[in-house]
Amino acid sequence: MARAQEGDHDAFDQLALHITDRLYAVAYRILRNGPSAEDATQQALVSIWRQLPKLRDPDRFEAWAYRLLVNASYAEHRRSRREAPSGSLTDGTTDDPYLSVHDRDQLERGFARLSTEQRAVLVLQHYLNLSHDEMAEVLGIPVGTVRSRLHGARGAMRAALEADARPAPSGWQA
Amino acid sequence: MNDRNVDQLLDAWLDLGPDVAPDRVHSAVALEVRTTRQAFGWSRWASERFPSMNNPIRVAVALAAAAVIAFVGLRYLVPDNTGDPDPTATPSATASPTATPVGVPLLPPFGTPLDPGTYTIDAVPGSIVSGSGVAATLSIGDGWESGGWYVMNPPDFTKQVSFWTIENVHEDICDPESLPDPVIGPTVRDLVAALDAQANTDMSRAVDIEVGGFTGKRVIVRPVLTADCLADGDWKYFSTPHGAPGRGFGNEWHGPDTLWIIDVDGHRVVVITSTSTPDDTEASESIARVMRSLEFEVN
Repeated sequence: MARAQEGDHDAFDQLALHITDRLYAVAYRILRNGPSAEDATQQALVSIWRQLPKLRDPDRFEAWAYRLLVNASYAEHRRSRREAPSGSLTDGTTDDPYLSVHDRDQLERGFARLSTEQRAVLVLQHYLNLSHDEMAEVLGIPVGTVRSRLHGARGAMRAALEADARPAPSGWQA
Repeated sequence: MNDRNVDQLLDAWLDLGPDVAPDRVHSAVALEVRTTRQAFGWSRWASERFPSMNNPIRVAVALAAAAVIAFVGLRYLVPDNTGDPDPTATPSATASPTATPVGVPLLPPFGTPLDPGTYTIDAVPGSIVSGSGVAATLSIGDGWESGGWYVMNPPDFTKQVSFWTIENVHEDICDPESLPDPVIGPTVRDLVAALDAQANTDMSRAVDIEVGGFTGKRVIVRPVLTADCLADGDWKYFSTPHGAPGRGFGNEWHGPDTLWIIDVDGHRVVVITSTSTPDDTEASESIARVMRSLEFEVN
């Protein structure tokens, strides 16, 4: 870490090797799109490189790196939204025996309706298993705001899942 | 469906998906970092913004190093007719808008403690004020130190007065590619309008001012605290004729900048003042005294 902070490219390569997969996995889950997740991960890693000399507490590196990644994901989402209308969000998810195709489809559609801020809190909680305090540090927001965003995101997902579960009005069925 | 059901579904669903980045991400990053300069570290950051000063030795070393670099740069870059700095020079007595700074010492290099007195900030080659076509003369009291083209007060860093030539304004501080092309117009009004329209900052009402006998507008600009880009400190809100990025808001304290936008005989000069805490009366009064002392001369 210290060598990377002093501008050692090889040391940074080693550092990046340890975190790139994790960053990409998080970006993918927020953005639900492989190419966008690649771009966000790349942007985040370059930001980490550029700003590494400013990091005063190496123990907070991971939270700091996730923060840069989440911000890069926000920016990537805005950019991709300007360039193309949102379509199907998924590409390449693997099968899971505990989730039906129907469940996954419902979850994808519900998730697509969330803001990127709401997606980020859900991913940090359910994928990274961060506590509220840790999420607040990563996102740079108060813990109360984390709870509020989680509440809103979970409510929006539940509403989306329940709406999809309701039978369509007569005459709408294909 | 209750929250527990939703949580279980999310746990399972978010476990799906790739956990390994494609190799091209690794190679692209490795290539890009080799063509990307790292940000200046703590010392540079400390000099340009208002950090928490919890490592005075490191700052002192950084200031000394920067002073040496600046001294060497000026020694070989500044024309001889600028004369040696003389911080003990008598303050200028004239208040005319056409006052000349002849005989007033040039503000010494970065990191030089300043004796109370009067100094000129002129077109130091390579500096950000270069190209404005205007020299500024200011009088200061105790406790100031030179930044070359600005004054500050280490180690507390509670106040700063800096001089800028603003050429263009980002339409969105979070979007580094949002500089208008062509650049904004050259008048005070053009700059105020651009700052007012800027996304992710809030601007106060523009107030009429007179500084050194020249008129202009004063505005207070502060970032919108919910802006995505604030967290990583990666924002810019204006650019200079040299392509240098404009200053950012304090990294930890997202406080406002006060911009004094002055029309000096058709040259738009911007003086930016800031304090590390909004209610620091002493710092505010000290800055006000500097602002009242300002005189300008068109080169």
